[in-house]
Amino acid sequence: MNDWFPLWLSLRVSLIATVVAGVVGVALAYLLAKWRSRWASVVEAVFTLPIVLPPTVLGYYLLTLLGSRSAIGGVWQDVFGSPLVFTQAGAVVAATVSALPFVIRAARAAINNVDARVEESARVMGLSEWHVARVVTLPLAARGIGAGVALGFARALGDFGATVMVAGNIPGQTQTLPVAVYDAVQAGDDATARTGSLLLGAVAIVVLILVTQVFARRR
Amino acid sequence: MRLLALDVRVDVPGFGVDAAFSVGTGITVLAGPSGSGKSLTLAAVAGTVRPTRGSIRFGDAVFVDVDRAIHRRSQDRELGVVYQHAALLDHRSPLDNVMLAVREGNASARRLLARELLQRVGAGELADAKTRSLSGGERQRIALARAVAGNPQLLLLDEPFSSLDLASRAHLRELLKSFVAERHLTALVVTHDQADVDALADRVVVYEPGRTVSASE
Repeated sequence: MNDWFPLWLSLRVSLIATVVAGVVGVALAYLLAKWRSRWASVVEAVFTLPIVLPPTVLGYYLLTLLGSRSAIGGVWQDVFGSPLVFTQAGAVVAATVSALPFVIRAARAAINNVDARVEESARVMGLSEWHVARVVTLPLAARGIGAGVALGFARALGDFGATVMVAGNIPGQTQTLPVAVYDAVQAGDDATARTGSLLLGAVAIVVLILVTQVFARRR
Repeated sequence: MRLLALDVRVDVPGFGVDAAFSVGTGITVLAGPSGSGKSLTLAAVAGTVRPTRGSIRFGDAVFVDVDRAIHRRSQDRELGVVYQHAALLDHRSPLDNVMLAVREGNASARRLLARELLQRVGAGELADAKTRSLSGGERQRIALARAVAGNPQLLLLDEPFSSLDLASRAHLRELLKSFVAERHLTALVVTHDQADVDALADRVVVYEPGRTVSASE
């Protein structure tokens, strides 16, 4: 493989997506875990959809939601002067939405597992809710959150369907590595397809080992 | 003198307790069989459960008044608590645990006060130890230092010494008594141990299953 652009783009897109999904996902997971309402499970179901939807269908929804003729797409174009879809920013959005449910589910489970008595005694000591979250809940849930973020990164790096729908397949602009592998297979370029697949496989294995060895380890 | 005046019903799934008593400064022991509602009463005072009827006042402060829909947040009740299992933050040092409970002053003043309190409970050399690796007695000493660090007037202790060996119990009882005497604190102690009652109690509130039956000096 002599063009490294798809690899760098994939890494950049998935890193940005992981940061965004990490911040948004942990905040949402915290609110969902503390929100005692049946609506919490409805909201969680909506944010979990990307796990179960076919990626192309997810991509179609995003395309409809973010396209130039949509409200969000229109505002984006007014502010940034270029459309959101079929750009690298669109690829980031697709990867973020794909990664988000992994972060939310793992973080919510980890936050629910924090001993309520430890949180209560912190409140009784006078710590504000924000302080309790920052000093008690989130540090105690860090392993579970870390595992979710790592899986989210792997998912963002590997996304094909949503990315190709929202960002397209423009070599040198929006072509991420999974899309480049597909392109290479279509063009009969076995060497490129093989290298790209091996790279993505290696990263996925490293992430999974990290998750099981470091983050998911029981105390 | 600030009076803790309590007349409430507290319900949790499958159980409820009616508790009524008024106590002043000193140590009040809540005594009675397991499952009679002593810890639930303490939780209502701490604000971690909401009573279904009645009121809890401490001096001029109304913690709870169900009729007027007042439920003051735990954070705003200015309490110190010690639980049976110390509920320390294992991922923070003993010094941090105590420091977090100090409500006033800048970081260095809070650190200084936390160190003094750890010295006071005989845990000065443990300030920077790994909290997870401490013994039960060490943890409860740190929990006691933390409970008084915010300078509360009301202390709540739920089976604070029951997991400790005899020597640690005796030491902690003395520490508790000296804090209460020096600072004119009101302390509620839930215990099953008659030795705690004998050593600590300025007065005793007796429970039978689901209600308080008497208070005596």
